[in-house]
Amino acid sequence: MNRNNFLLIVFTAVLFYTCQDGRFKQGEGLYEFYCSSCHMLDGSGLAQLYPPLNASDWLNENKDQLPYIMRFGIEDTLYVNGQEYTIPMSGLPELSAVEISNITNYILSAWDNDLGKMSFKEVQNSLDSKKD
Amino acid sequence: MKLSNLMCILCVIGLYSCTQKESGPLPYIGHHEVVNGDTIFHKIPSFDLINQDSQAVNNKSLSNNIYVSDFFFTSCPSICPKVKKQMLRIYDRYEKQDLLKLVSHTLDPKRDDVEVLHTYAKNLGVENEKWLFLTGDKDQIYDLNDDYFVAVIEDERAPGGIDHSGKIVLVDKNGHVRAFAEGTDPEDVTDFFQDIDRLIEEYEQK
Ligand code: HEC
Repeated sequence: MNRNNFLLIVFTAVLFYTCQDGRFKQGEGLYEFYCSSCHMLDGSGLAQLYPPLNASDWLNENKDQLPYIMRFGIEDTLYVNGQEYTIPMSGLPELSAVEISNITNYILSAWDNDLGKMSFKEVQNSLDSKKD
Repeated sequence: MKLSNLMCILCVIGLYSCTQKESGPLPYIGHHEVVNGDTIFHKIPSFDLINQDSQAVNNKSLSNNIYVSDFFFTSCPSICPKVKKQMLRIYDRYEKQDLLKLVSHTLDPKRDDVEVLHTYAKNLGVENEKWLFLTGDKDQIYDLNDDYFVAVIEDERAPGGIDHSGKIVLVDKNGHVRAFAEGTDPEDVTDFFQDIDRLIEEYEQK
């Protein structure tokens, strides 16, 4: 291996590593700005007013709806971890699909959540889905 | 021998942390006036509002209590839920301390009528008289808002850039503001517990 190749590999590795590290940085910042006021910084929600996003059984079962909810809101009686929630949440139309994707992937792995990832295609599908 | 060493260390740590803790009466916050040699402290003016159970609440009904106060409205999407989370911490911590009440004033009395406030309180898990959610005449509430925060602003250590909307204010039995906390900052509210404890002590010593 010549020296240039070696440097290239090191450089790529470093780049890859730092990118990995900051993977959901934008999502985290957007979450803080747009969601944390109600759902709290630690995703714990507030009593029976705002449901939790951390370890939420509802989210676990409906994670494909997460992007849709961000854009269009949700007005339903929800049961999250055994508690009933009835206050509607308004959508945030100012968020772009890319921003929604970043927030989604931040939430799916934030705190105690280990709900995998969502590709940009899946996020778009969710945004395009029609609710009955 | 090992144990006594440990005890020694613990004593020193204990003593040290005692000296760290502030004690004695809390200061009076806000504008002071001297009239005929007597100092008059800023005071929450009289008010007449109504709570989530349709009960009238005024200064008189609170004169046997100290209370922490905040301003909010139920449909507020910004900082109010964070402040409420901290008010809830205070509520839980002092659940058995009857001297302390919590008083939340709506800034949107038109929408937040008794019924809306009742549901809101219930959803927060509050179904008693310890935490009052007040609505009523809008002008009166906005004037009050000024009075709670005028005191705070005048006492603000950092000059300029005042955004007082998330403050939680501690009021004594006579309506004087004695301490305040940044309601969006959990650590500041943890320190605020000490202020509340000190005010409770003031009354328990009497
Ligand atoms: C103004 C307060 C508010 C804000 C801001 C807000 N939400 Fe919500 N959210 C709610 C309420 C209230 C509900 C319950 C809705 C219902 O019962 O129909 C909810 C429900 C949810 C749910 C489904 C229930 C659960 O906990 O799993 C998800 C997911 C969600 N919100 C995500 C978000 C995300 C992501 C953001 C930021 C982009 C956000 N919310 C911003 C108030 C808010």
